[in-house]
Amino acid sequence: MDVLTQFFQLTGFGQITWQMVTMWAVVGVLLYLAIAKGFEPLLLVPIAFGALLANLPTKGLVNEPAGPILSPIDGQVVEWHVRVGEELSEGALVATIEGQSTPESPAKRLEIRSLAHGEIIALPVSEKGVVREGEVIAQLYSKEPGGLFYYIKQGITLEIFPPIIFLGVGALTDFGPLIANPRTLLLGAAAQIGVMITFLAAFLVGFSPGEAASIAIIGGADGPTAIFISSKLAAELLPAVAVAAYSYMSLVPLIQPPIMRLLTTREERLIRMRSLRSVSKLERILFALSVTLFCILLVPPAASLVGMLMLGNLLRECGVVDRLVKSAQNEIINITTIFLGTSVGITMTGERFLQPQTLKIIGLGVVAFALSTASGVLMAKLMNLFSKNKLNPLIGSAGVSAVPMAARVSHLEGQRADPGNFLLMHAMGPNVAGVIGTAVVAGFYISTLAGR
Amino acid sequence: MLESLIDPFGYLAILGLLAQDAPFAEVVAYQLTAVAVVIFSLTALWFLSEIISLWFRKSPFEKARGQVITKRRKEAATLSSEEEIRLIAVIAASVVAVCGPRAAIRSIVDATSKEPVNPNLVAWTLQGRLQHHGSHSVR
Repeated sequence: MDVLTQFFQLTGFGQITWQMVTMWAVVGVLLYLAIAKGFEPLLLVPIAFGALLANLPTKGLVNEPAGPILSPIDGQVVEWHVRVGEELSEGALVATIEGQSTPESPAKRLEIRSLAHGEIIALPVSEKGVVREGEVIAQLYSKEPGGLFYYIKQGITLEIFPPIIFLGVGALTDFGPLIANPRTLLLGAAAQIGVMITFLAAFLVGFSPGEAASIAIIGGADGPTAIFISSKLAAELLPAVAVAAYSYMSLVPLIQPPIMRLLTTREERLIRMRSLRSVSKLERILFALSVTLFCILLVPPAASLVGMLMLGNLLRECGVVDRLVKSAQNEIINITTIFLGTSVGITMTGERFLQPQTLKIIGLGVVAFALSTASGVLMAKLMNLFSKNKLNPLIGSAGVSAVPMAARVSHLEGQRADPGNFLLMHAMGPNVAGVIGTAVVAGFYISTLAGR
Repeated sequence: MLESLIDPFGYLAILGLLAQDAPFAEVVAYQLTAVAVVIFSLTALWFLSEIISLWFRKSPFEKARGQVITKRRKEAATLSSEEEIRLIAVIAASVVAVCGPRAAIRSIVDATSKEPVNPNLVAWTLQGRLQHHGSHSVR
């Protein structure tokens, strides 16, 4: 019997926790939405599967490689629990550090644990020694490398995947409708007002400015940007923000139409817009270059997003690099999507995801999304007060950057009112303006909040 | 005075303040700055695009195209746009048949009007014809 008990302890079954089981249910919901309902399956399937892996007792899949162990705070080492030459397992206690006391809060003790398996080869800080945040307190060595997903996850940690996705988005996106009717850029800007109101709401319910920015950007309906800004400003919120962003992006056809109908009259929905002029190749190339120059000069932290978006678009529009465009539109974006999705999913451990703040983030996310939609529609109505060539306000909702789904929703809503009205290409203008606008807002938040 | 010229929105001042436990009023000011930045940047891009397109709308090619269209409308009795498209398609098919599918048609000049016809106007028709003829190996 003892042998059986010991064997059971060795299997994964003995390590199942209630958080894991709850997360399996969450994974089930995500897979149902993706497979049965067809909501953003390209991302929800890898995210859900990554979350499943994260909530299984999978040793060696996500563990860090052995290396330096850093102090997370300024303080003093009060006790060592290891000595040089000792073999450590993952999660083993290494040291206890007492943080510095401040007038507002007394000193607190932190237990530092090893995130990897290995042998202690150096302890550079003596007992009772003072350490600074980020200083190496122990050096761990192992012949074994880190887990597979530790390395794949570096694409998010080092902020590589979102810009690569933007390369593909740029190669897939036709900026022609925006160039033909550039005043729709204002609709993309207006949609960001929802992001900013949500920032204030998140701040009021107790999130720090960095966390509030990460939550608010959900309203931009731009998954890669949400991941990009979260990994920079609030890494601990990344799983909840990413899931909320992609879930609401997939729910665009359900969330937006009631708001659009509520804010517009039937006469406004019947407005037929003037057909768009044709845009020459040179004009498209100049647009890509001018957006790159202007946006990066204005908000340098958005350089990687805007730069890659416009590189993809330039490849598309220059017409001489067909092979590169096809790669960016297909293989590169598809491979990156698999890794991005699973990397986000792998961060969704039960302990991290099943927190009260996840519910707050999901609630604030829908507020952000609704406000962004509403502000785009209202801006279109405002512009109509001063313009001879009327805009159909339904295209304002496409100012959120869920390309091209938000534009398609505008088109379908327009056709409900008038089956002969084709708004799709008109709505693509604000839709791609939303991508640029969200990148600018993200750059602003990063430049003002990162490292604070 | 100089400070207000350099930093009219108080942008730089806010950058330094929001890091600490900022009061709500300052967060509101920060968000207003963010709104101003995003609206300014996209409005600037709007004007930039308008300036670029202004040049294109007034370029000799566009002017010529406009004149051709106007003239053609007047001449609708003699040559409908459908006929024009068909004519270009026939020319394209002939070029492909003689020069092969890699040949690119840069412009087609109407011998009667002496003005260029924009091949972009009929790009889809051309492409369709080229594929049709390609699929039947017309030589």
